[in-house]
Amino acid sequence: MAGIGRFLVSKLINTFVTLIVAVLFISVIFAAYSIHEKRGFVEEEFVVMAKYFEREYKDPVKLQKALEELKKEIMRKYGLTGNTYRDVLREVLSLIKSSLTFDFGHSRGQYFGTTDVGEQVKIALRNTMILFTTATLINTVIGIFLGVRIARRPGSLADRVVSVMGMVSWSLPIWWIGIIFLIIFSFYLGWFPVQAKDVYIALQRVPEGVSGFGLFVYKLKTWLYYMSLPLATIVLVSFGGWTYVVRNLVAEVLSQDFVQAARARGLPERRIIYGHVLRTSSPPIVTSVALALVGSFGGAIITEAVFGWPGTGLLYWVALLNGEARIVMATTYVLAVVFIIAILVIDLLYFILDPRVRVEAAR
Amino acid sequence: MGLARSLRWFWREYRRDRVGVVGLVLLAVLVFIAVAFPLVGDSSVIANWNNYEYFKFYPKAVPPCWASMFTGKKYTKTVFEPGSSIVVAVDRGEDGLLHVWINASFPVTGDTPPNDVILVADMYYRGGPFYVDRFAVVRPDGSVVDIVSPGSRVPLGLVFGGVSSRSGNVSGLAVRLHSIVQNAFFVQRYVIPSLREQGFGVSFADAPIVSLNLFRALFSSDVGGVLAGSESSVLRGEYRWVVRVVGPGGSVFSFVPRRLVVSGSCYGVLGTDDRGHDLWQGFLYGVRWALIVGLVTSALSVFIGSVYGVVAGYFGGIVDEVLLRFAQIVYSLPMLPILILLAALYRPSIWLIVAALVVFSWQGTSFVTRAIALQVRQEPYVESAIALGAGTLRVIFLYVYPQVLPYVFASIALSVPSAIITEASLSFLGVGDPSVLTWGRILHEAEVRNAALNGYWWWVVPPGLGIALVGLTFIFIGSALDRLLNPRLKR
Repeated sequence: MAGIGRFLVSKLINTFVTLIVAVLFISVIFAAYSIHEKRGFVEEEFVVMAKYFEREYKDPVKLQKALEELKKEIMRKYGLTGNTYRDVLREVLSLIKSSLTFDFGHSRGQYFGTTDVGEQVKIALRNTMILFTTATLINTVIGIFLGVRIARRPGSLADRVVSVMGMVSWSLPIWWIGIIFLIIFSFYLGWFPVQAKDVYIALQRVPEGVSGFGLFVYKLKTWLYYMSLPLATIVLVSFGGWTYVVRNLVAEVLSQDFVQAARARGLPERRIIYGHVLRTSSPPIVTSVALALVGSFGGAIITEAVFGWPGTGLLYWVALLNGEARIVMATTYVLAVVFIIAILVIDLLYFILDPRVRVEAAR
Repeated sequence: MGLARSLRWFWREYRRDRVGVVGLVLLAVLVFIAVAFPLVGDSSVIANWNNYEYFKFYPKAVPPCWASMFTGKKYTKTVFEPGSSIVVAVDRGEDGLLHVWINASFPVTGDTPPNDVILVADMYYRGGPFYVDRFAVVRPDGSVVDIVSPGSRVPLGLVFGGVSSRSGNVSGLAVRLHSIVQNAFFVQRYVIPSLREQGFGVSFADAPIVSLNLFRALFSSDVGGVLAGSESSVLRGEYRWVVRVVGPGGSVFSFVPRRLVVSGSCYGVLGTDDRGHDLWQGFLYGVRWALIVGLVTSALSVFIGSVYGVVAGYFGGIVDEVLLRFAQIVYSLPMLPILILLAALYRPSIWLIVAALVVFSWQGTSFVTRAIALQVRQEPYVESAIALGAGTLRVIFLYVYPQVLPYVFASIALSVPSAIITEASLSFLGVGDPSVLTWGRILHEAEVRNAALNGYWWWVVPPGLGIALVGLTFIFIGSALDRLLNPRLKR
């Protein structure tokens, strides 16, 4: 058991170091930028005030002194010391503090009904999770089910179709497919809403006399109606790749001797596939699927921007359009942390699924 | 085996892979388009992409002309007639006045009226006042719609968009038929009387509706119906636009037409966006940056990653441990969000974006090459080379590194698509290099201007297909290389 403990500790340390690197990296990027920006403000304010001072003080020596005093005062107002390294360090520290307390300050405009950046990111992250987790679940089910079936008939039509889809989805941005779907299904066919962020308005409009279970059904229906198109896009683009991965791994295991042995023992095919083959190939499936997940993550958040799904992608989009650097920074922070923790979870899942890792770790 | 012979062997084997050959042909076409863009495309369109003036006369947000195959509607083609097609005649009439006739004819070819007809010219005149005493459109069936009736005296500036009526030197004057036709004064004073004379039942009370529908009516086969607000088919054929300017006897009036633009309801190969950009040029030009971004990023990141991995694997021990840990840390950072933040704050050039992409994408290769190097360093030939006193660098680059080359070549090709997609994603979010026209940027402009909500498919579809095409090209080549050079993976 001590081995398992050591394995876990080393994984945790790894994750922790990665987290620190990510947080430091993002903080330094943002701190350098915001110091630069603040210097611009100081300069601007100084120029304006200096003109006023020049009129006030006739004596050049006094003027010089007053100007120096003025500059210092303005810099103090913005929290600058004049020493770049010290300024950046101070900014980094305050950013790390704010990331720990989830207090990212306020944005200039109102998004998702609030100016509190931390609150905005929370709402966005929740919606991203809802969309992305659902898509991942659907993909897992389709991928495993289809992958296993196709692996048993290599070279069939379905096999070729799936491998082509895998290739195509590898070379396409998911979000572009999203735009195309919007044109087809929203513009020409009118089946789905154009902007998914209207889901909140739709949720407010509960028909009268609906309550209890009926209300739940209404809310679920509304969510699904607004979520279906983004969801369908992510699933349709990525399920080919997933299925292809599962198919390859399962096909490899299928050709091994123990499968033959199981068949010879007269075990039912279903039990061989789901009991033996899938059990054996599940650890690499988890890793590959994790990679696929990581790969499609970026594309999926941009897809949200396309559909107006009120998640992190949309938050990025509106923040970038409106030059809200603070929101961009906070979203990146939170996504990075969530992403790194997700990788840790997948690692642990691998650990649970693969007995060899456990044994090796215990040795 | 000499290099030449092994290359020949390689080519013979590669040729047998059909997918690989398709990829290679596609690559040849793409490289040709990228290199020969000044020949196959129009460089001035790209150079002026941010220049609003340049696209002033292009039709806005119109589909490509071949789209009529699907919609069943025949569009009116956009035509840029040269200035020489416009006849300008000057004579001093018997009344002693200066008469200038401007006579421009243009075709209307489709089932939809043009968006606008624009006359561009340089005008120099003095000794005014000048008047426009005729402004009419002669339709293919011979009927005439007068905007300014013959013999009237409308000051020049009233017709030609605010220029002085006495003297001036205007270059690049644009006379837009559409806006002149909508002028309420002309409609009240001349158009309605003239129409009534021709027997159309329009009353003066209808003036607002008439000025709204007049431009469409000009080109329809049922003028009266369209003026009343109903739909009608377009009268195809050659239209003539006649303007007569009158000035005092001693005056000078020179009118040098530059071109006549029939801004149609379709344009070129891929249509235009809502600012009139010729999207076909943008699409062609996009090939160049897609190839540059994709190839440079993947070649650099795979090269760096492979050397890194080989060094880690070759040395082993603590060096390996540290290098591997570092690679894993970088690997676990989410690329896209960090790139978005970087690009949003610092607005980097395309080369810096490429550099940032490399920073985040070399690790995958390093894991594989490290594993290969771990095996290779125990091979007898490597050990004997070390025993013979070969230097470390020599062993790494001459004995170990060649063993990962097959993998390196295949993965350079295979990592092109994700590099292109990531750059396109950044540009799509609007944080790409603003001075470079990429497919991602065209898609960004489309998204900001709600192309999807307006059904402008010709604006959105081609850039994405381009990304997919370039991606597939390299996947084809990469998987062919992989099958050929890494026979262990052959199934």
